[in-house]
Amino acid sequence: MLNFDNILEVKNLNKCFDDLKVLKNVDFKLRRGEVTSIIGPSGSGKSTLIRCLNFLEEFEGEYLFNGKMIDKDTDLNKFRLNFGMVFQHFNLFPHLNVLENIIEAPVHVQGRNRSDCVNEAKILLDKVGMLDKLNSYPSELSGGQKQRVAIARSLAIKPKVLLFDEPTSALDPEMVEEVLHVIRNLKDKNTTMVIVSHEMSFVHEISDHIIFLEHGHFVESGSPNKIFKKPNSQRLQEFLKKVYIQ
Amino acid sequence: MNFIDAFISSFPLFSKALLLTLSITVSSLVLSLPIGLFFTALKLTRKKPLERIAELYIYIIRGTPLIVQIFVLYFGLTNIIRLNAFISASLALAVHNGAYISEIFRGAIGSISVGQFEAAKSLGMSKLKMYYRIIIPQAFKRSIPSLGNQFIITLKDSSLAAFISMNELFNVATTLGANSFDQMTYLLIVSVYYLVLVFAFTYLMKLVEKRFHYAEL
Repeated sequence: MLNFDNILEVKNLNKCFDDLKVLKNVDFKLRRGEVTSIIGPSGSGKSTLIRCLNFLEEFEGEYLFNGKMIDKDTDLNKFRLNFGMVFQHFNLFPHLNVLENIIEAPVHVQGRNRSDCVNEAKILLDKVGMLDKLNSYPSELSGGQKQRVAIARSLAIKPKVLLFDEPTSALDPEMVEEVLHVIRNLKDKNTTMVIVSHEMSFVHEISDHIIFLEHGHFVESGSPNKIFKKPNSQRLQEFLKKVYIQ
Repeated sequence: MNFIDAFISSFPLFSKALLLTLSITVSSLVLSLPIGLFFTALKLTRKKPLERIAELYIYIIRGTPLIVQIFVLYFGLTNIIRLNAFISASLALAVHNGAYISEIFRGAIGSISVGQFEAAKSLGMSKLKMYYRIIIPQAFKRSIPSLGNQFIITLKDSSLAAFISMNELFNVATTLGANSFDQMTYLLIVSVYYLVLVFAFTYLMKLVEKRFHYAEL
């Protein structure tokens, strides 16, 4: 039997911006139903890595999804529907209201029935506590509210994996918790997630697996307890000393 | 003859001319929007030969006077095709404005944040769908003030059609002025017509702006 524990596997990932190598021979595995976090100092390539996973960035390397090789014959537009992506700056569509933002891709990309999509959107909005803002425009929402709508939008395409690229970095401190709460609920439903975050205590609490990158190199990975309590490498120890206050 | 009398007695001629000015302006505007969008699209393909075509078009149109372009269509092409004065003027204005409008669109699209493109992409949109559903609606809104400007310029530039015998506002004014040996009166009268037209255009563009209003993030 094939081993389908890994929903996604990238081998030997290399990425450069012009002459600058930002990821060097990185291997990345994502287990189904698990939360994997990527941590590292700024410039370590963690955001670039998560953006490679749904091909927002081009890169070199071998990519397996559900055991299938993704290559130049793959329709990337279709492939991206396997991923819901949540951005640091939300990137809601300002010309559409909350409901329209959520049903945009299900209706106009996936071609699904509009009234079904509206009903599903309402369920999603209820889950993230934004049902009462159905008809609001993004500019009328706070940062935390925008990000909760953005999460609902990413869920609306029924992705297999959720990607969070620093989802709380652009939020005022008092709004961080409402977004983390939504992510915790997703974890309870065994959603497969990749998270890039600087909220170390949150990363510790929510992750099943953590990867530490530095200067585009894979340095160390393991369970939250191993990473935070018994870090092997000196570089991870130094990094944690700076960012993780227990 | 005083201004008021001249205004009233010339009204039948000027009102006919006003309709002609409006027809030239509106038909050229309607045509110039798709022309502008087409050349913007060429530039967005990121295919060098297509980009070069768009650049050459903009280079030639912006680099030569509109009156020359009108004359080329009306007098210059007679060996190949005979265009009547109305079509020559409208077409020249459309092609001329298309170049400027394509630059307006390009600038507006360039002002949309990268995050909007990435969000659209991450939701599985093809490039065409991304532009059609997400980028162009936002860019169009941002280009409305500049388009309004361009429309007003077109309205006034339509006076150049007088030089290929179109009896639009400016032609009527100079003809009446010459006949009565009173250029000033008729130049003032025609200015009133243009001012009223521009005022109406400005008001219309405000309505359009309101219609497309949503708060920016």
